Amino acid sequence: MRDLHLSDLIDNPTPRVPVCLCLDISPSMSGRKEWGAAPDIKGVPIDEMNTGVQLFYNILREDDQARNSAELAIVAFSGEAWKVREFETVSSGSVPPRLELDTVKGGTSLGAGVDLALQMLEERKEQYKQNAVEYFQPWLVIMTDGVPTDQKHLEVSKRCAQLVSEDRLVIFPIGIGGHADLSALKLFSPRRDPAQLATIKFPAFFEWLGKSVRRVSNSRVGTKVTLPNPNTWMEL
Amino acid sequence: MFIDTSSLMHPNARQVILTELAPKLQSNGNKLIVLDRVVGELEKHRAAIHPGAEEKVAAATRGYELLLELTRLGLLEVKGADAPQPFADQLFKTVFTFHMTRHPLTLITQDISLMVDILGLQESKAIQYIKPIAVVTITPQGLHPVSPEEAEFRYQRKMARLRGTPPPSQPGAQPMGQPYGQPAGQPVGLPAARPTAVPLRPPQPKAPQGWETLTEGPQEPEPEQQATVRQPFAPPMVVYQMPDRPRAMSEALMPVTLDLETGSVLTGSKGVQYRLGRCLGEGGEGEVYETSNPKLVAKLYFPSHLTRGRLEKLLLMVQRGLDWKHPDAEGICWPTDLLIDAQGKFRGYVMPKAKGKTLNTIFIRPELERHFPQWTRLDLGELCVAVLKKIRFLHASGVLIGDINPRNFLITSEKEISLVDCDSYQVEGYPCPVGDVQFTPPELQGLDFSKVLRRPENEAFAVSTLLFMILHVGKPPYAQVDGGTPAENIRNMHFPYTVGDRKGSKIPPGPYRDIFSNLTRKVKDGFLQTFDKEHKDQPRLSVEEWLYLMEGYAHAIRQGWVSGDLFPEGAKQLTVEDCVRMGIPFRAILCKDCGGDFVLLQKDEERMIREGRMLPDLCPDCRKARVARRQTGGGGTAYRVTGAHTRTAPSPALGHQTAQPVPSWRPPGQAPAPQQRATAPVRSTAGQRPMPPRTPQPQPPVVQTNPNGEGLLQSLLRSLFGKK
Repeated sequence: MRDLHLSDLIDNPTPRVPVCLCLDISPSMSGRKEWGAAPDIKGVPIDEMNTGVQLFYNILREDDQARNSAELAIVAFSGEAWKVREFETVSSGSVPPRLELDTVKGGTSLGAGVDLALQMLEERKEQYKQNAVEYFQPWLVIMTDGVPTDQKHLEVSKRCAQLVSEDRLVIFPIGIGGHADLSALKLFSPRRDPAQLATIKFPAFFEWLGKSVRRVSNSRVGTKVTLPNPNTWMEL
Repeated sequence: MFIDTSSLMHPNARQVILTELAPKLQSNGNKLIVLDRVVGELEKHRAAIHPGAEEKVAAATRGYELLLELTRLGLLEVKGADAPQPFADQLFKTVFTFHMTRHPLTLITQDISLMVDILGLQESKAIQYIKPIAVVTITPQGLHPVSPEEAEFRYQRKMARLRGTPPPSQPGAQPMGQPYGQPAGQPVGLPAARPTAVPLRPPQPKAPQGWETLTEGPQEPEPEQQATVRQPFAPPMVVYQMPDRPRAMSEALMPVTLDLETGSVLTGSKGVQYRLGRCLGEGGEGEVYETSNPKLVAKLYFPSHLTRGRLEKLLLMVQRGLDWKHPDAEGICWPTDLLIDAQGKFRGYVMPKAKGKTLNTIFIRPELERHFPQWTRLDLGELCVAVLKKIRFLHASGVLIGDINPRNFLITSEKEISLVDCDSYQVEGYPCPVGDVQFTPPELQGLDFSKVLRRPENEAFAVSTLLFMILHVGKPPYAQVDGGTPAENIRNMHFPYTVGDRKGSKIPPGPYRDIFSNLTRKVKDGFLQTFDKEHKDQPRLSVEEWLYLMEGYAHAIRQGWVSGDLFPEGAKQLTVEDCVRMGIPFRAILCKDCGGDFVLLQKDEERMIREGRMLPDLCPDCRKARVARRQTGGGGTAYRVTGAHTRTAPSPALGHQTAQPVPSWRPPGQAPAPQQRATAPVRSTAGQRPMPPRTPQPQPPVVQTNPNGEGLLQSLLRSLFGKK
């Protein structure tokens, strides 16, 4: 039986939009103040985030073009980073997992998370090239609610910023709650200021993200690709 | 005594057979044998409906009736079940090969190549004691026996004609059985320096007098000949001007306050009211809703796109319309009325509802197989023709589409298409403000489309890209190994595929190389000329030219000159005629399984000898069939996909996830989860996959060997003749 993951690159010639979600699962994402969550957080951020990711997949699945074009990968990080999902289109039928918190290690290594994400993006690009599949520049969505607990992000953010300025990466840095270090996030994103997620409006954010990816998948050029209005989720 | 299709369709067939042959058969107690396959070919010709086929239909009908008459007289026998060979000609050779040691055999035919082949069977070195084989042909004077020399002469004359070289001057100038056809440029008729085969039978007498005046019966098809008479195109009655400069479309926004959604009511220009139904989808400019009129849908612009310029353009389009009576106008979803909200503000327009699935849903192999499981390459070719006719109509109306892309074409069948998003078309100087990067020609990449007036040559790029993608099931023409984004690939203008002697490079893995190879040469040249930077000084092919080539391609598929498989396996096989015409040195080899001829190119033979490889004795189809029989479960396509990525097995901790609809993921090292990296995505096997199992592709028929190991040839002939 052929490896379906790679046979999809042959049988599905749609130009790809690779999107990597780089998500914080440090203990503070439980919403518990004693574990570091900010005072303004109400509810359980990680639950809301999971719901949001499910919604994101569903929105993409509904669009004829996006379901064959958008490829999603998930990286989770706290003190270290893990691959949760490799890149694949939502049409393959896979269901995104509900992420659970890291309750053992702790820490927030933004650098480790983004480093792993960049690595996965590079590998996937290589596979596109080997299989003669066209692609649009990849998207990296970073969501964190805290302050980096190590210095890895200093080097990684430089690489990231370089890719962005060469138009080889599109980045969406999102801070969650009052403790999020927006200045650290800013290092990754020379063109787009980090946005603050209004309390825990994850579902609204992922709905916006889904619609945005759909518009790119439908690859209109000429008019500016109007992204939907982010006022549904952004703290202004 | 056998008769083939060409003779049955000869204008004199009836008279000659009934007056000359029938009495002989009656007195000998013999019957005329016609192969089942030949009857099938007659039926196929009778059913031909393309323009110009009337003569063929009449000839086939006459032939069929002749068969009926012979049956009534008790002089006809029909033999045979379906054979794996596509053409009856190869079957004749097989049949004759099998029987030539048992009975004298005669074939009545007009087909010169077949004459040569059948008579040439007598020269077979491997088989001893061949009984007499004769070939007879129908002439205005009656039945006429054909000697081997005469057959050879007529063959050389035909080849010379195809090549455009002077014909041979007399019969017998070329000995039969020459190893390589002459390359173009060398005069035919030079005595060969090869030893002639020693015939097992005494040489036939010289060709009788008066052979020069023989007619040859129905012409054999010339490769890639256009058999269709082009239907004349009626110019449309509604025409838009095509100015030189774009009109400035006012960007002034027309603000609105009312939110529209399902249930909202909008009004058209004559007071007609439309209630919005379900939202069908959204694009870059707005949303599309069903309306209370089931035949019409409404497109409502986003507030950011409600400009005065758009309103002016739509007013023009709605007022003038198109020539709706024109046969090619069907399916074009042109704006028919403007829409105003309850506050009197312009919101969008109504148009006819389109039917079918967007083209991009068939641009993925499993989706194509799911929605159109019966389709073959012929349907793709006819789809190209249907698309081109619509575009021709629009161009003749003075309209350029501008944003040609697969999402704007919907199909219900290979001949029924709808075009949507017509409000973005370029009309009378109002530009087309949008585009799809994959369909945007290099000269327009990066430009602001709202300020660009497109010309037909810009559009030609998009049309060619669309045609390429239809024929290659979605693969874009510039997708290549080590490529980049669509814009980068287009700017580089590297067309990766091989055309004739022009070797491709960075060719994509997968079925695409073989699909391209099996197109007609003219179509391949057309793509090369349009897409490759080496040809950028040549004009891109126009819609008319593509229409001509695509009708030719469809015709070639119907005639069996090129593969009709959606996903052909193996590069296009050159025929003997191809090699002669193109002057490629070759040798014709008899396949030991099916008895058909196949071509071995001289350069390939030399290479194989150099590499110490055995020369093939099976034609490509039989080779494949043998390979398929060896593999359990039959062959599947096995593309070498690059990329060392392998799936790790799902970890036991996640293995029980099939019970839950949504799996969960926990970082490793957390008690009580076991220590492993969860890198594998979990596939719930509870029927989650929306992709259905592949429906099997129509495979070329594979003949199975009998369980007791009987050869292919034997089992085939046994089924034809029973015990003999």
